Amino acid sequence: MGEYDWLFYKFEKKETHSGGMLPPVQAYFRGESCISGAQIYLPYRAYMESGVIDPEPHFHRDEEYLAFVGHDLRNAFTSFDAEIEMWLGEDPDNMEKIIITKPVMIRVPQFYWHGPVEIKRLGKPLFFQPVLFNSRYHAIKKRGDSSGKTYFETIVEGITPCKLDDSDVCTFCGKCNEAHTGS
Amino acid sequence: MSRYDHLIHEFEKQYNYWGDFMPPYQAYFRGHDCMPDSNLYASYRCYMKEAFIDIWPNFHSEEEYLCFTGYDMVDPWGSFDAEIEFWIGKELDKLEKHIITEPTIVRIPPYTWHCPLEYKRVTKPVYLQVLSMRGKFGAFFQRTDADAKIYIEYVGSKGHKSCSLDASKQCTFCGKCFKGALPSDSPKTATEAAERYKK
Repeated sequence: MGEYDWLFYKFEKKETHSGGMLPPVQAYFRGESCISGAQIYLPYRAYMESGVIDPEPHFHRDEEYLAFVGHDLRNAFTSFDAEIEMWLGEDPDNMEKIIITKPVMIRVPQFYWHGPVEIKRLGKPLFFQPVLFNSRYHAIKKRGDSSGKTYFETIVEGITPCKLDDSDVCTFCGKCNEAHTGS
Repeated sequence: MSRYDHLIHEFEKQYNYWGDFMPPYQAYFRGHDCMPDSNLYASYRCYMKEAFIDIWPNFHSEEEYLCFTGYDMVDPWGSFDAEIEFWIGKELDKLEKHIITEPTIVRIPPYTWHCPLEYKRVTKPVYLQVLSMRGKFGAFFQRTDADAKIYIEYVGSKGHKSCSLDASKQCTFCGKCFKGALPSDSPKTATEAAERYKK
């Protein structure tokens, strides 16, 4: 045992439940739940099929960076072959469509709405890596109820009730929404 | 043209001259050099062979994460087969050795010494992702001047390190100077480098 063992996290194989969009298991560094004090949240896995990754616009109170590169890091350029549609904006009612056909990094400033993200065409597996500057995942989404009231719902890992078992909390396991993997 | 073009960086092929342990070019998001006001520094490239380039312990004033996985994001475990030696510690003379043989991420808190880092065995290319939460990369090293005075040198990516081969230019970490810049008495292994700091 070393004094600094606690700063090392060996990736565990986490099941994805993505309906085939992701490999059966993925490596995901989920911030504080992996290493005490960690301030970053990011995955290591490739998208294997086209489809909607993130169906709803949302924002974070922290910066996020979205990397879209090829799956094979021996060459992130030649292993990239995809077309992705993504929406971005400061106002959820006035977002702009961005089409990605080359390896890019997108900076999503604090409070900027982003999503949906959709892989329209996938020629090769895609390394889509959202890098969130926070110790755990949270996303804020605009909602309305039947009385016409608008509010902002926050989905927070470890606090929001699980959709399938309200005695448990959300861990972004993906079981409730196979296409939504928590970007 | 989009209102948000300034938030989109198309990766350019950054050519490497470090040696044949790196691919000829890489994708590297170098914070402000790629996008003004950004706060991330992140690499997207592999180490292809055994290598020892991060010789000297250093620290940063912000968090850094070093992630070691296999080269293929389809299977980060199955594409990993390597042994990496890495040293870390709060005190330079009490660095602790860690051997990494499985996909691992390391959190390096601010002001924590880390390195040397040596790729001792690379059977399959290793994806090292450097993640710094600051747009301008900067590292601090312990040095000794000609008068035997010990000081902490700051080496930064913005105006605080000139090119070793052309002082009129800024260092871009291209690696061209790497082999020529090493003194003949440089340590040959990570263990040898770390032990030079022990009292």
